[in-house]
Amino acid sequence: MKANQERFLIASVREKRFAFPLKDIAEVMETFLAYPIPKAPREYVGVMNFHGAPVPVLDFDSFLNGCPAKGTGSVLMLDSRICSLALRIDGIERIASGEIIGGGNESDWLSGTSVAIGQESLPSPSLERLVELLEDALRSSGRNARKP
Amino acid sequence: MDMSQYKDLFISEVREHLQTLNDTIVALEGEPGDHGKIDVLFRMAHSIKGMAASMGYEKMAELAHKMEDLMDKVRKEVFGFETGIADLLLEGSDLLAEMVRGVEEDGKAEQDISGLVEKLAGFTPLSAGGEGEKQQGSAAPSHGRKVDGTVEGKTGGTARAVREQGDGERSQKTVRVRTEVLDNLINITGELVTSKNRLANISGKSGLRNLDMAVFDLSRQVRELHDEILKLRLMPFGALADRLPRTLRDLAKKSGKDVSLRVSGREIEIDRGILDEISDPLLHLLRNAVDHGIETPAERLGRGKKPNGTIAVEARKLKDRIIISIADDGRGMDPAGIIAAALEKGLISEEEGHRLSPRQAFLLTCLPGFSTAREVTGISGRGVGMDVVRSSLQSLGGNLSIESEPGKGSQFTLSLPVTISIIQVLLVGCTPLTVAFPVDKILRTLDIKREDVSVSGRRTVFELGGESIPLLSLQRLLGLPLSTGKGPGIPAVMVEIRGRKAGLVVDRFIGQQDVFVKQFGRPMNRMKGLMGGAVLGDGQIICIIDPAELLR
Repeated sequence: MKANQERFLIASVREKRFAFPLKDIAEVMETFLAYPIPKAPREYVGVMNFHGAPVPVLDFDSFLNGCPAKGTGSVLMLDSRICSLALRIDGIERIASGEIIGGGNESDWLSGTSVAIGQESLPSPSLERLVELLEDALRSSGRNARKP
Repeated sequence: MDMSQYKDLFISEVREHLQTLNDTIVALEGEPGDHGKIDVLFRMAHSIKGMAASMGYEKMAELAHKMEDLMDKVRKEVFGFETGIADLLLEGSDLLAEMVRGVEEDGKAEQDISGLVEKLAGFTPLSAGGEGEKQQGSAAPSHGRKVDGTVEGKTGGTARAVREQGDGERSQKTVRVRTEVLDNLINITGELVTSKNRLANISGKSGLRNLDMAVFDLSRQVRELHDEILKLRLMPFGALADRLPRTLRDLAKKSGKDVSLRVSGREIEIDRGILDEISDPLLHLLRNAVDHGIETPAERLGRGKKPNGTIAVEARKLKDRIIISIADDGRGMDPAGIIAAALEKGLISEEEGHRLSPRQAFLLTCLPGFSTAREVTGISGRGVGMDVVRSSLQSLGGNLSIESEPGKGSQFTLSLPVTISIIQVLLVGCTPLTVAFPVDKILRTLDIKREDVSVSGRRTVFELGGESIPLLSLQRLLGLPLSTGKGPGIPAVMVEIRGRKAGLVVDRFIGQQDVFVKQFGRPMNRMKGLMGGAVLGDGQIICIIDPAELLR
């Protein structure tokens, strides 16, 4: 691995693929059991038991596309430095080394940063910005937070 | 020699010394001739000087040295203790506290001390026509703004750091424990409670008597362990109350009022986490009492009162609750005036205004943006404080009540749990969810007869003891699909929302149990109405509802 390269986890949501920095993922779980959260916006699948701690699960597809949240699939447990949240995604492809080739476009948190992995370029969502968006939505009394 | 390993101990000891210094200065203003207290002040400044010098914090040592010099002159009766000295020493104490913060944050104590050092060294007393003349009179009670604050033994520092009182020698039977260790211990005990609940669940289904007995023993032992760890986290109310005389002194000076403070119940023990959280609310109530409650000496004389007002702060234990009251003998509050102000601001409707009892009217002062203060002062009156006071208490599982009588004074009473984290909840079914209410937030559970329910205007209400109480659907409040109950009775929990009773209709009561509450982190902690989550014995996760926040 080159000095300026990082490791990324490539995950898919519908037909789209995203590169998440591996350092921001605490754990990957292939299955999960979530219990509903009262008053939570529709993109939240529920709350799951993560080593004894209740962690909300956000359906990334529902958040991005407004479809109903699904209780199946895999979850990426985000690192506790960032938040206490699990992201439900459709599939996990692989872990690969990559290099950030463009970014810093704060107005586009979803694909403003790109990562070059081999011959292809994948969007790398800003997880910090995602959490801020979710916080803003919950602060305004649980309205639907969907805002890609 | 590397002294960094002693940094935490240094910080905690200097803070204890500064607390004693503050308390003693304020107490000396009431009794300027008390040689015992003068000696304490001298010793505290001397000790801080020595500790700072040994750690290499030269500026801190120099400042403490100048304070010690000034006190030495008082000790040797070169001049008497007076308000000018108290002001300088308190200024010195504040600057030393700043320096301690600097040491804690980046290992440096580099504040500019030159101005204060000069003032301390050049102090000339009032009697000699010096610095003291700029102050408002001497510290003698008959001339100055007196603040009584009896300073007694205290426990403070990072944990339950117990000291032998009097001779200052450390007891060999006590140790200092970092607060993080105590927090970890309570977390681990909480996990044990969850595991024990799981075992009890398995044992209940297994029908194995020996397993039942073992789980029964385990339950008792976990409970004992939990109780002991909770005791470790307890600190006396005095650790917080001893800061009040100094605060009151500053407030009284700013507002030109003459106020005495009486504190009782310093020995009452409260969970360290709760004590930390109620610090700001308590100080806010004290500020309000001085600013809005106590009248000026002239006003008081005009109303046939003593010129100096009194604020009484009392802590006591009532069953498993801690009750803290802040009472003043000031101008009191008029419920009609409060209702009128709330109507004017559009916070309530006229109909609601008519229905409010005086107690409920006083709680209107806790609505966001409410303030009846004629003007915003530097001390309080921005109309944001009481709302924060009340929500802080509610987030701890506590509540606030207010009693007041115009012309006679007001009393604010805080009711708090002794400990946090492990609480008793009532589990209720609210199709399709199971949720929990903290037992101490429930006034009572009800099985309401359908014939007692009626519709009044746009509200559904039920009659209870001659009172008409709003009835709300928990399903609707939680944004769930509505289902219609068919039984003869309507199960509901009665709670208090914004000072008013309300019945929340549920599907069924499941039962009570102890749970270890885990608060949600980012982003879910932004959602109002949820106190956190807990894992039940069968592994199921339930959300704990905060009814007071549900309708915000």
